[in-house]
Amino acid sequence: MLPDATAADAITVREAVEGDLPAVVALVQSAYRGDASTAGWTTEAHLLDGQRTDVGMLLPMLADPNQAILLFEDADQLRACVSVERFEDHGYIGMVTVQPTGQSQGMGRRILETAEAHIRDEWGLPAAQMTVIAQRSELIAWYERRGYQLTGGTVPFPYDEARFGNPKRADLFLVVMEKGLS
Amino acid sequence: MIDEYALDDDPPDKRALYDVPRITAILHAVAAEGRWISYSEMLMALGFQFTRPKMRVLCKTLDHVDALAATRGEPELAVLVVRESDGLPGQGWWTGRRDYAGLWTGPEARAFVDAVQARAFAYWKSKQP
Repeated sequence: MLPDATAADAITVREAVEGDLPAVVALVQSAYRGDASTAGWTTEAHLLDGQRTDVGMLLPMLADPNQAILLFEDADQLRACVSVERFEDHGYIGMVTVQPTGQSQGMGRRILETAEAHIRDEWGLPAAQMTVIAQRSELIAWYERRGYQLTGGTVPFPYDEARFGNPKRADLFLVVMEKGLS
Repeated sequence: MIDEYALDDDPPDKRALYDVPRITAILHAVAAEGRWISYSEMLMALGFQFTRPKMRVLCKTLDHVDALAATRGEPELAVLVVRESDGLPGQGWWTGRRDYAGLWTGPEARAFVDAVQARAFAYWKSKQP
């Protein structure tokens, strides 16, 4: 339960199945790319266009017992999602997505806490990592307020992979952030 | 070209991303052939599609590959894993280097990478039977 009552309180959580994936793709796309994403602050539309993900990229996650896509729904529709992946000594959190018109209402914190609990309680892992586009300083600051720290590690942006989108600038790269969960 | 390294029968095992000897062996073969390999090709050689979390682990393992090569007095190998778009390593390869202070892209970066790659090519070609 969040400290204060928010829209996030009326949400149920479950793991995605194959039939959910078109809705997940649409949600992720709406939060990160294109005009619709600019209704929220998580938009990447100024950095990239094209797709953020597709069903073909998500299907292998469902087939892997060490990955899950968690869905956050209210009575009407899918409101948010997040993915988790198990590695040797940590879990990875990805695809942190809140419906653009539902952002800034505590949902981001809620889904992050749920993902962290999955990594800590389901998998018994002591830390969570994620990658963030280095140029997204406001997002990095948000994760820092949630307890994440930059590790100093970087990851090249996948310029060679159009399925991750079409970059609008040539200097994108990802930074690695980590949080202890003990 | 990379199928010779791929797992044909086994499902992808995430431990491959941490497998320094295996990744080192791939890079020795690549160096002996006088060529580079893209990040995506390296992940495919280990049995994976490109994803952010897997790339993150691969980059860290490449650091270990180079650290071990240095202890053996061998040339760097991570320089052989590059972006397909411009044939240059990612930001992580450049940060912390004490032997280069220029831009990480462009002609100067290209010349520097060519020189580092040439050392690996020459060394591992000379080790071929």
